[in-house]
This record gives sequence, structure tokens and C-alpha cells, in this order.
Amino acid sequence: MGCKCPHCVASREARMTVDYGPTVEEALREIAGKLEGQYGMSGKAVGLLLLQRDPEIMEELARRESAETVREIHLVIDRVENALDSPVPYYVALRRREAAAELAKRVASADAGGRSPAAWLGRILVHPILGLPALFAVIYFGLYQFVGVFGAGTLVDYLESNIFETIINPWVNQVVDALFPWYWVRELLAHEYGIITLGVRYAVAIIFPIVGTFFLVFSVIEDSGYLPRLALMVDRLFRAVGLNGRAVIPMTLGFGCDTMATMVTRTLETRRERILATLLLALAVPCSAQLGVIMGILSGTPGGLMVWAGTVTLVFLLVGYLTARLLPGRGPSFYMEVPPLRMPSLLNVWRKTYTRMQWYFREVLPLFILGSVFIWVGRITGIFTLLLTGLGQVVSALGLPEETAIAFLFGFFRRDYGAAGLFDLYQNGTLNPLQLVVSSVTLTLFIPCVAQFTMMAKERGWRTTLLITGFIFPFAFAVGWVLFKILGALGFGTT
Amino acid sequence: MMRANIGSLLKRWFLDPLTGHGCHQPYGTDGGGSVIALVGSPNVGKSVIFNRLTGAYVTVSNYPGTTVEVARGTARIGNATVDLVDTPGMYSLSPLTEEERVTRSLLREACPRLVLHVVDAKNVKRMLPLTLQLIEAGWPVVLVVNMMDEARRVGLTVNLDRLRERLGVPVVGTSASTGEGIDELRALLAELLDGKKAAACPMGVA
Amino acid sequence: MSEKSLVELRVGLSGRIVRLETHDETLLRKLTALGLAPGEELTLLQKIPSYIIKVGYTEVALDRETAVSIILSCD
Repeated sequence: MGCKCPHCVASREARMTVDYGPTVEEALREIAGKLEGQYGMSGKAVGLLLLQRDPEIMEELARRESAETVREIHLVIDRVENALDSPVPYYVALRRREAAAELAKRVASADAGGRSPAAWLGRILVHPILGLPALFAVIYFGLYQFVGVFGAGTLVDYLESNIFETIINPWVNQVVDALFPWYWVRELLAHEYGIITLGVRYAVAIIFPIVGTFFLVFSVIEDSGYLPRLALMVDRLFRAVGLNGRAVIPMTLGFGCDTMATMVTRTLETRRERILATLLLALAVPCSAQLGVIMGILSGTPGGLMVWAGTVTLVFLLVGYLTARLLPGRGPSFYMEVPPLRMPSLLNVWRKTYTRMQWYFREVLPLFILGSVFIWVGRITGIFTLLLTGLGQVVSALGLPEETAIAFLFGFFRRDYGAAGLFDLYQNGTLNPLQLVVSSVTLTLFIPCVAQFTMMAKERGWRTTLLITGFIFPFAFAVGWVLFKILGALGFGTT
Repeated sequence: MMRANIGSLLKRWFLDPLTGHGCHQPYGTDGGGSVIALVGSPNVGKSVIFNRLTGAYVTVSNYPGTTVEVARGTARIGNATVDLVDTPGMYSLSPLTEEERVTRSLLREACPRLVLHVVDAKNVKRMLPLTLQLIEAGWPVVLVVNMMDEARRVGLTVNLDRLRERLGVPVVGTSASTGEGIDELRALLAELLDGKKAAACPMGVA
Repeated sequence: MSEKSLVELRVGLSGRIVRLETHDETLLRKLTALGLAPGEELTLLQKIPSYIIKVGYTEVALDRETAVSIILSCD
């Protein structure tokens, strides 16, 4: 019975124990002797947590033990608290650290001179000046060129036009039309806004390449140890809007897909940060789909792109700054371990990317299908016609033609649809340069797409989501109106 | 092979020991649960070890009622197929964050067959307190000293034999990112899971 | 021997942690878990754009607000 392996229960005494000193040890023996219920861990561990007044364990104690036992144990806790000169949790942690330090001294030894070969590179990457080129290179090549241009451009175009629009969609339309004589079923499954032809296509042809390329870059950045360095380089920037360096992840992600970014805000530490990030993503971070079309429209208007980018950035900073001051609580503390740099391993990068993609599809694909169903309901029931009339009056106030209302409405279901709608209006000459800038800004701010909206509700709850959208709707139009007035007064686009 | 996978899937869905009815075994009897849990603080390569051990069937789901993600997979260890759980990062058994709360609950509900505590070889000093806590709680702890390659690179040696001797639990050194020590870890787990065989006892029988 | 906070330390110099002045229990615990506990010796590597310190074999990045709460004794 002298076996020391963890399966030989008799040998548990051979395992190392921490000596917490006579006062605590005696109390632990006393508590362990009184406990009747099952806590899923040893009496000693339960006792230690009780001495530290762990809320969850205290609550279980009250449920599982007799009132008499609970009273006695409370007396023991009080006694220990009085006997020690420091708070119990602090005292316990200190004793344990001492034991660990003593052990570590015996098992770990350093020989001088050993130095990581990547150390100098690690230093350069976090240098306030020398680190900047690397930072821009990662953002420009990794995010902009690879995710934005290659993923969101080349790959999306190929999947959309060569696979879906020429092969899959026509085939689905034919099959559905052949199978179902009813108009409403045909519209639900196929054609312009169907579950398969819009929902699935959106998830597979647009989101998949963007998310896939992003996750690939992200896994490389993470696996190489650059991520914490990136976060510490931009910490001060994000501090201005009540976030910290950690927020660099969801925020850059937002330029790929805001829905995914909203989901990733859950990696932020406090609820306050998560709400701030969710709001800013919904309001002022255009996703790649939208970004592409807006750049296309405004590239023809001198200064238009600058006014658009300037206004959106200003709104981002202003709203972030003000909300951070308005929301209760303090800005988050930033502290992060900076691991040594290492060569990313292909296997790790692949597995991380693969697992994340899998997870993404399970979470997001249903939302896009839901989006298609919403559009279908809106069209079939005539709710859309009603909404268009209302929206038409709002856009008129911004000096925009009523047709833009359609672009705004559909922008909710697919961000780039809205922008594409504007593009049509621009091409057939309905919009002048001033109207184009105003409507682009308003559309960018105005609304998250339906998938993002659903994700917000899922991650932040309905109350917060409705509050956020309740703010964004009027605010976006207000900014549009102010911009219309200012630009009009300056004579923008008339020369 | 296929049947084993379906079986474990069914079990995961209907009888999930981690989300369902919890542990009915009185404390101290091993083998109550069939799960191997990986625990450790963030940045110790815990997920890489998880990925190295598990096959392609990895699922990520939220712990009931939280936004905390827990990854599960199955691993072929020796002749057995076992369920592995990659728990959220944890610094201590007194939870301050939702992640730590979830991990503690997982461990308490699962009666884990083995608890692999993954630590960073460069920082054993500040990671050992959790090892001591896990041992204190009575879980069948296996200490996985990871990132041995990085430790070597900074000129640090960790005496695993002495660590094993002092702690009284199995200890294995790995560098998950290069794959170093993973076979050794697998072999150790196989022996531990096959606990009936006294000869297979990694600590030797006195 | 004098006490000063981490922000007063010059880059490249070392000090021994005397205490952590914060009431935020989560922060306190996380810092301790990163190796920043009383009695430990640290070296300040840089202050801009963020504070980076070395404790044992670990490098930790901090913001200024957190650095203020780390009180050191230096000789």
C-alpha cells in the first residue's frame, strides 16, 4: 500500500500539504469534522474557503448542514479572524506562497548567461518609436491587405459571383420553383432574400472568407506572442474611449465583421468595457462589406471620403469619451503578461483557426438565416412598405430624396445592401455629392445589420441592446442633419 | 471506432457529467467521473496541450448560464477513449472572475478522473500555489510543467524528479508547441487511467 | 533605503515590492498571480508606451494607473 500514485487513496498522506500554522490548522480540523454534506472537494479545502468567507461555499454550507453545525462553524470562523492580525484570505495566500517559494527554490535553478535569441526583437517591438513600423506592418499587411483586400475583396468576389450567383443561386431558384407552387415558400427559401440564396450565401460567401482570413492572421499574431505587445502599444489610444489595450482585438475585428466583433467583446474584462465596445462597434465601426461599397461611392466625390472618415472618427472618439464618463465605474486597469516571442507553429495556427471557424459558424450562421426570415416576414406582411413611408419623411429632413429610405431599410438587413442602394442612386444621378456624403455618414452610423443586432441581444441582453439602438437611431440622423447644415453652409459640392 | 465516438457523443449530450447531475460519489473514491480536466492560469499553453491530446472532435460551448466558454474533446489514451475538458483560465481556487467560478464549479461537479495542472516552467514559483490548492482539495493532480524549451532558453532548469518527490504527485515536463514530452504525457496518462495494474503505477510500489 | 512607487523608478533600475496600494481586490489578486507580490524584486524595462517590468522570468505590461499602486523599496 505504499504506492504514491493518485489512485491509491491510502497514499494521499504522501502528497505535499501546506502548513497554515496552529490556529488555522486546528480550525480546519474542527470544521472538517463537522461537515456532513458533499462539496466535491476535501474537507480541508472547504474549510479554507469557509475561513475566507467564500460566498458560494457559505451559501452551500447553509443549505447542506444543520442550523446547529452552521452556527458552530461560524463561531470557528470568527475565532480565527480574531486570532490572526491580517485578513484570513491574505494570510492563507501568504502561507501558501511561502510553501511554493520554498519548493521552487529547491527545484528550479538558473544558470547565468542564458538569453532568449528573440529577446532583442521582443524589445524592439515594444519600443515607443522602433515598435511603430512593426505595428503598422501588422495592421497594414496582416489586417488590411490580407483580411481586407484578399479576404473581403478577392475571395468574397470569387465566391459571390463565380460560385453563388452563377452556379448555386440559379440552381436553387430553379429547384425551389419546381418544387413549390406557392409564392411565399419560394420567397422564403430562394430568390433575392431567401434563406439559402441570401442567408446561407451571406454566411458562406461573405463572412466565411473574411472571418477565415482574420482568424488565420489572429492565430499567427497570438501564437507568435505579438498580441500582448500589440495591446500594450495601443493601450493609451483606447484609454481615451474608456477601453484599454485588450480592446484592440474586437475593435480591429469590427472592420472585418461587426457581428463577430460583438461576439468577441466577451473577452473584455468588465461589463462596462463590453457595453462600451458593443456601442462603438454598432455605431462607428463600418464592417468590410460596408467599407468597400462606401469607398466606391465616395471615391468619385472630391473631399467626400475625407469628410466621411473624419466625421465617423470624430463620432467614435466623442461618443466613446462621453459614454465612458457617463457610465458608472472606472476605466479598466491594464496588465498583461508579455511572453517571449516564438516562431508560430503551423499546426497550432491551423488548429486554432479551425476551432474558431467551427465555433463561429455554429454561432453566426443561424443569425443570418434569421435575418432572411425577417426580410421575408417584412415583405410578405407589408410592414416594409409602412416603414418606408416613415423613413421617407425622416430622410427628407436631411435633404435627401425619399428613395434613399429603401437603402436605409435594407442596410439593416445587410450593411452593404444599404450602401449598394446608395450606389445605384448615385449612378442614376439621383444624389448630388452633398447628399451622397450625408447619406454615407448617416448609413455608416445609423445601424448595425440584423445579425449584429441579434448578436448584441445575445451577448448584452435585450435591455442594453434596445437602449443602444434607441440611442443610435436618432443620433445617426441627427449627425446627418448637422452635417447637411454645415456642409450646405460651406457650399460643399456646389463648386 | 465509430461506435465509440457515437457513444461518447450521446453520453456528452444526455449524461454530461459536467453540466448535469454532478458528483454523487463521496469524496475520496476515485473513478467517480470519467473526465480529464486541464486547469491552469492563462498563457501557459493549456489549450495547446488540449489540442495535442484531443482528436478532431472538439466542441466549444458556454457553461450553462454564463458566457464562459469551455472546450471539450475526446482523446485516445492507451486503449481507452476519454473525455477531456479545457477549463477557463484560473489563478486560484477562490474565484474573482466568472471564468474562475466556472472552473471551480466544473472541477467540483465532475469528480474528474485526473486533473492536469499545466504550469509555465519559467514561473513555477508563482504557479505552484495553485498546484498546492488542487492537491489540498483532494483532486487526482498531475503536474504538467510546460514550456520547458523556453525555460532552457532563458537558462533555467527545473528538476522534475525532485518536484515529483516533494509534491507526491506525477510530474511530467513538456513543450507543447514543439510536441516535446507529449508522448511521455500520454504514456503517463495511460498508466494512470489503467490504475488497477499496480505494476503500471508511475510512482512505483513500495 | 527609501520607498517610492513604480512610476518614480528610473528605467533600468530595480526595486523590491513593499506593498500594493489598491482597494481593487481583483486587481490585487491578478497582480499577485503575475508575480507582483510583496517581497519580489522587479526591474523596470520601459515606461512608454506602457510600463514593462521584469519579475523573475516574467515580463509584465502595466498602465500608469496600475504602476502607481506598486510601492517599492530601493537602495
